[in-house]
Amino acid sequence: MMNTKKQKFPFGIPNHNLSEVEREIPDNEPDAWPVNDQLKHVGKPVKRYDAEAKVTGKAKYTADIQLPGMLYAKFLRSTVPAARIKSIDISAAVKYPGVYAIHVIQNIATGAQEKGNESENNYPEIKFVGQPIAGVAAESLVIAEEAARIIRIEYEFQPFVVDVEEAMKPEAPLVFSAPVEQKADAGDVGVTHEDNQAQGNIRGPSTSSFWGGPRGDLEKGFAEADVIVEQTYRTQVHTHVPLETHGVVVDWKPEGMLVYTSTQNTKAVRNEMADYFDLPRSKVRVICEYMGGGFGAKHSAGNFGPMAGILSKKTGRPVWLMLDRKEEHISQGNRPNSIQYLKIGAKKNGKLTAIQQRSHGTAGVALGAGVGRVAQVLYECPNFATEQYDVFTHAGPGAAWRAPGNVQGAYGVEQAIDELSEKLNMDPIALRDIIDNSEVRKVERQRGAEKFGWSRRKPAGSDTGPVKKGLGVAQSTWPRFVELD
Amino acid sequence: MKEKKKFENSTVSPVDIQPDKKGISRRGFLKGAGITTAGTVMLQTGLLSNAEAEVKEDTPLGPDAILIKLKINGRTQTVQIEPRATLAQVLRDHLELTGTKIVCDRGSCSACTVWLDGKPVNSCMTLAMDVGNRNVTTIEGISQNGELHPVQQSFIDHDATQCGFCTPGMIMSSVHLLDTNKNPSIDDVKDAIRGNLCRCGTQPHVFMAVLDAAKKM
Repeated sequence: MMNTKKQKFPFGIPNHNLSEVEREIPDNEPDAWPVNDQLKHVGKPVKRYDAEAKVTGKAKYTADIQLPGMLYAKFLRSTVPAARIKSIDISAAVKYPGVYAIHVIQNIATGAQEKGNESENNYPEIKFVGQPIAGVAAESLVIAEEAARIIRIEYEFQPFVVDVEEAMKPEAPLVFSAPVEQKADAGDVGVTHEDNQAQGNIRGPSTSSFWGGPRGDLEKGFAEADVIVEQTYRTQVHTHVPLETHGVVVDWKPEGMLVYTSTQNTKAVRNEMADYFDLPRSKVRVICEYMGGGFGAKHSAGNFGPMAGILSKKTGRPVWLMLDRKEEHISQGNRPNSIQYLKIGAKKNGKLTAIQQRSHGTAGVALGAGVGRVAQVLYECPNFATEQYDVFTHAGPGAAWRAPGNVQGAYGVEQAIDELSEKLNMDPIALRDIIDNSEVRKVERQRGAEKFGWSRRKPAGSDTGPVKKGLGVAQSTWPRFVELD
Repeated sequence: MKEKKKFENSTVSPVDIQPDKKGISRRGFLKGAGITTAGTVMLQTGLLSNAEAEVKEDTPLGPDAILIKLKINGRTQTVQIEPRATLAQVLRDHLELTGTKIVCDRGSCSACTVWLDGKPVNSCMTLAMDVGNRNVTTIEGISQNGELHPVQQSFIDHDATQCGFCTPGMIMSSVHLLDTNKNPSIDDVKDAIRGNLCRCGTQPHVFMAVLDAAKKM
């Protein structure tokens, strides 16, 4: 039996309902901390430990790494959205002065992959503009760029589809003709699903999350409703645009591989590189001292990590491979679009009776275009069901982006709740106070309303000018916050 | 047109582009690539005219590397560069002055801001050989004798950095503002850094940092 002691802990929301609770904890645990204003460091501003390096320009980001004998590498990328590569002629590029090595890709490391469909062709099928085809290492970046440009590619063009609604049609060109699988990314792109329900380019639906599956009875819920909002909302594709692009400097040595990379996840990069090169993880060292922004998209070694590794191994020199801005936009991740059908029923007093959600979105050649769990957990509602579909298009793969899916999902749900408040002739915040069980969010809304001056808000439609200005409210949640509630 | 094509920032079709046999005249370059500035707008004509007078117009340069002298942060340095090299590339790749960042490489984001004779320019849009006798100041030249510039200290005090990739450019624009306006309003600060894109959202802290630094200088 472990000895325990009873301790009082501060509990609740400061300046609202802060109280104390008594808890039993092991004897050897430190005493409970007082609230922040009685602490010396917690809750007090501190200087960023690396701020001086950043303001003086001394901070070395991956793009700034320079090693003795280092080569610069550049990708050659597809200029067409769908094709078979018939031939690749690197003979001129190999002879180009200053070129050290060229590698032509045979396997693509990101996005969804067709299962067990080893092509007889030497090259992967082209499925999006920007798909990497080859990499060149040279003594300078401009030489690598020039050599990449004189690599000749003979394409056999294929039909393609880049519009999500066109891609949903049965007659649309198929992005994948065989079942696909996608390696889990440490970035967590949200709910994905088995590939067993495929219809053309459409995969899914996902109907559940770790909060469970559908609940109640939609039909009954809508029958009980006094008011129903039924609407389709759309969000567009966004690209992450970290100021520092994705990239690496790889220094391959017989005793181990040193990888400098701009990443949020050194461990995932180490594991990917070790797996790719069949090295023990102890032989791969990944360093990221500074990262010029990631926003969720920098969880992986991508194709650039293996490419730089191969070129470094081939040449015996460190290889610098940072993407340029265009490559970053077209190939290195995005937040998928969404087309969300929402139907929400409510009683006259505001209480929700049913929420139905059906979404389609495209993460290009990848999975992960769901709209998250907001509709499922944000508001009290006994009857709920969701169907979330992925649609493949001939476009660059999506990537995690700070609460994957939830941003799009929250946008749709909150638009619908606003429309509901109009139909019920209720203030949008007052309606949320009725349907949202979270005490924390209630206090947040109160404080936000004060800061924004919510009382000066005019009803929807008050501004008759061509450009309309007004005040609105929206909220969201993320599973880890829900647990903390 | 052929010269221009080389500057397109893309990995597009494998068009066969061979290095120019004849070499490229300086004048042709000037027509193709303009200089735009960072936070503070300057007309490119005035900037270029000084430098242009110093080079004989009929002297062909390149495509092979040439030797040039650059006055950087008070020191004159000789570097061997290709005539097409931008100032940003030369600072970063030849002189290891990597505080100057390349983000968009097309004069849209001001991360590469340096000063030429005290005036902010986008070094990614400035050919190194166009710099001539002008003094280049980079972020590495802002602190003097190991002492942080008040703006740098203020950026630390007000937590005006997040990822830090836009920070050197922000500081180059901000210090220039205070060099020319001792008592700026918040609108002056917004104006000075309007070209400096920050993806993390540090702008409100940058405003506070610059206004506070102005008071202390």
